[in-house]
Amino acid sequence: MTRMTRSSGILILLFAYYGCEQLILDPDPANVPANNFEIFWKDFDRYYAQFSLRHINWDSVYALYCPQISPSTSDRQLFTMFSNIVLGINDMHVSLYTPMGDVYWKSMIPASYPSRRIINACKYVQCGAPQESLFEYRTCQDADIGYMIIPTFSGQGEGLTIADSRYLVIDDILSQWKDKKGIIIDLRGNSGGNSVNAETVAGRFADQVRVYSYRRQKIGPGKDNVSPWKSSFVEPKGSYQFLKPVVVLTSRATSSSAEMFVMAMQVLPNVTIAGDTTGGGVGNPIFRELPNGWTYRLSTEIEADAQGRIIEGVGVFPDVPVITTAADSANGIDRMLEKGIEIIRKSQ
Amino acid sequence: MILSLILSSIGISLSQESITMVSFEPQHLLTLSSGISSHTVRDEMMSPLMYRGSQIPLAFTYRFRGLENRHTVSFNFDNTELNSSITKTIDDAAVSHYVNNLHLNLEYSGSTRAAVFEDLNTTCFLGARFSSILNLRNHYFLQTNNHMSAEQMTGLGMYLLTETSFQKESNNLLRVEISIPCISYVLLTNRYNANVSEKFDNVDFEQSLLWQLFKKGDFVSFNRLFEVQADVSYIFFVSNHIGFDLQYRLLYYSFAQYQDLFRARVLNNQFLLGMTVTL
Repeated sequence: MTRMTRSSGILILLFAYYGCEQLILDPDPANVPANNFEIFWKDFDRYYAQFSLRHINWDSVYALYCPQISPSTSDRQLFTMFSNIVLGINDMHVSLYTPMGDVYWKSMIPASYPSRRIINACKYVQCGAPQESLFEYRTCQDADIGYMIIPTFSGQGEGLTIADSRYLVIDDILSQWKDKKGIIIDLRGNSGGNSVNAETVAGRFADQVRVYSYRRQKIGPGKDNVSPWKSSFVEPKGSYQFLKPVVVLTSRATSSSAEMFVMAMQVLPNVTIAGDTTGGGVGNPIFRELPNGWTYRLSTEIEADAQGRIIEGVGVFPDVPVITTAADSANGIDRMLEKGIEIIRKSQ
Repeated sequence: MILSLILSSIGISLSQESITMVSFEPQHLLTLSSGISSHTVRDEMMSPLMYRGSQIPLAFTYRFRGLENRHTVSFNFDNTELNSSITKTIDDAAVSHYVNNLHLNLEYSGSTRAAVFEDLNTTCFLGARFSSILNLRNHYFLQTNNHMSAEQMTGLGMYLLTETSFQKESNNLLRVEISIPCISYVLLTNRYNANVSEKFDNVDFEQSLLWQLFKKGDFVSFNRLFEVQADVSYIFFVSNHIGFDLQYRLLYYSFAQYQDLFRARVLNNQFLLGMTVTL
């Protein structure tokens, strides 16, 4: 190879290596307040699915805040603007994560809300040593009734399996509880996670394939570019399905994937939902990030129950409404759990 | 079908040209290479920012140099950590955003001699390349969150190879290869909201997704996927059977994942040095 050819070859390779990135991929947006605001606003404009549902004029948000952004806008000022925007959407799946703090809308859950957890547990269930399982499962003082707390639906399977195998503990529990006359599932503090895990557990109580919800997704950049309604199904899963009476306890703190679980259970003939209305936010959120490192999430879906009632911002209504008041809590009374036990006893 | 069309068109072009036959012994070449692999990713679903990183790749190549034909099988692997301008410390995911990118590339190309430029000591081959690429990314952010995204595309397309010898009676040669897939079978086509996408209904999430995803792929062409791969390599022998292979590879693709909403653009540059043996 001649020296000239060699030199030309090396030059071409160097150009290809360093030049291609600049030619093919645009440079990153600069980390300046205007860019951060533009990206933040535009992401919502393109991907957020619930503007119409929540009666939000997103263009007016731009008109209000954009003129306030300048190169001298501080991080604190930008944080305040973004916080106001996030809180103004009133969607529990819209949130902001920054070094200055996290911002998310949670005003639907009263500050001292006793209906989030079991009250005076040992009065109602046979207390014992702590369990290592993801679920806490006990027998009620009435030994014919099983009681389990599912604290979350978060977690993802390993490799390319999406369902988290820790939730398969439900099979072990149900195999021990085949003789129980009924089961109470406590979801009162469950703020969701991965809907696949929720469907994994719900399938252990299903007698046949049933539609449990409808959803529509954002499918285009326009504000109302949403897909037609699509069905979600609950179907029998596992080697054994528990088809005797089941009560699911819910509260305002039951949200996201936990609400999908509630909707899936609600269409099953052997299941009663008791408690308070759920939180009202499914929305399948996605996370996004900004050049300044802040992260935020937004809802890309609208979810409705099997009757077609949109639950975003509303929640799933229980079959048997009951709440544990602050006074009940102070007196060691878990009104919701008592109702659950009563429902199972009556159904025998 | 496309492969047969390409090959038959080559046959037509061959019959229309007078090609000087050169005396030649068929060769089987095995090359094991490594070097540096540099990835640049702009995945709109993941971030508005570019993520970049470099890693030492591993590549294996088998080449058959026949009288009229060339066949190449190659495998390329690296697992690279990608960082962006907002990556601070890798260990602190609370303030750091980073990506683990697993890159696998398996390809086969077959080509037939199409033209000879004797003045330039160069022979051109035309054919087809079958390539399968996986870029599996895990995007880490906040403290406990991560999000998986991926492109997996298996394509069949046009393939052009030129071989240039700088000295007569020498096995040393410069190879330039370019391929552009015309049609590809792509998995994870709707990974925007993948877990609720219509495409993912009736998937058993308690089982491994690989085969289930394979069944739910889509055939795409230039409307959704543009991919180009170029390789420049110089093979020089230090003995009758042992040589070295200096290679530069450029792979670029742009894939529209979900209508106009998300587009992933991926650029991979590799500088490889390999040892080649003739069988």
